[in-house]
Amino acid sequence: MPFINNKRICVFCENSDQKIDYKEFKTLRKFITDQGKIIPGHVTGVCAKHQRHLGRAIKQSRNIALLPYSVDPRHY
Amino acid sequence: MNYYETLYIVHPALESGRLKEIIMDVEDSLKKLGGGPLAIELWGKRKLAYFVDKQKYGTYVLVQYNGEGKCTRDFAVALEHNPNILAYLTTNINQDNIIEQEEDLETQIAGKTREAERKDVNFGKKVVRDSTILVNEKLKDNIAEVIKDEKASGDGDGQTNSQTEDIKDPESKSVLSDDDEHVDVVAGSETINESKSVEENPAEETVLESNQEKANESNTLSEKE
Repeated sequence: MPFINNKRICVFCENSDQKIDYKEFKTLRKFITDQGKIIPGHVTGVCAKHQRHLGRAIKQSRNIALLPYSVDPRHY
Repeated sequence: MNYYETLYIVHPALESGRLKEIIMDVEDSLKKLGGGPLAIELWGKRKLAYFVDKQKYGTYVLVQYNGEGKCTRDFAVALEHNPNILAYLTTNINQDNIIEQEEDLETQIAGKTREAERKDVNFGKKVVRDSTILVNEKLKDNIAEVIKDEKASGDGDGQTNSQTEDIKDPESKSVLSDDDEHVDVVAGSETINESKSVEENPAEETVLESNQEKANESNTLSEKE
């Protein structure tokens, strides 16, 4: 099995101090692509529970213009 | 009793005095609707991720308050009808997440305006530096011209000049002084080349001698055969 030892640990499970909040858009920016899409949990290694919280926080940040909904690929 | 926080964006054109009025109006309307404001935090003017009401920038203000569920609905209507507020977001929070307001609203606004002024001053300094560089360059040019003139005057007094300098006009001497240096350098390089050629000649002679020896050997071999 090629990926047997390739188990990734959730960043938010490891560090309980790191909270997921829509106001901390600098940390949320790590979990979206340059185009503005939410990166799936199996890529970043975030667990299902925290991925749900992340998705909610990113959508709230987008609503208040802290994060973009979408970025034109020609502009980055 | 629940705890809520509202983050709203104020129009960027509003300055410090007008901004305070709007924040106080929002606070008053919240009090009228039955909410109790606990903390106000001014984030300052920030660039928006996308255009809101054709605006690129906005001043973010965070208000934390407690109250019943009905007050948030009425507060949202009040914010919606305020033309100076571009966007808002209300969320439910825990009591642990309430921030302690360290500074008053006035000091916060003053701090943000001071930061903005500092940025402007820094920008002005850069411009001043550029202008000083230009002035320095001009001074350098002037100094160089003065030095050239002095050189030309010094050369005119002395009688140990080359024939070319005697022929040329005195005005073109400053130009010639640079050319003389160039000529000297070229002459130096020529002398070096000559010395090299002298040094290289013996090597060439040895090569020629070795070729002649080889030719002689080949002739002797052919004769033997």
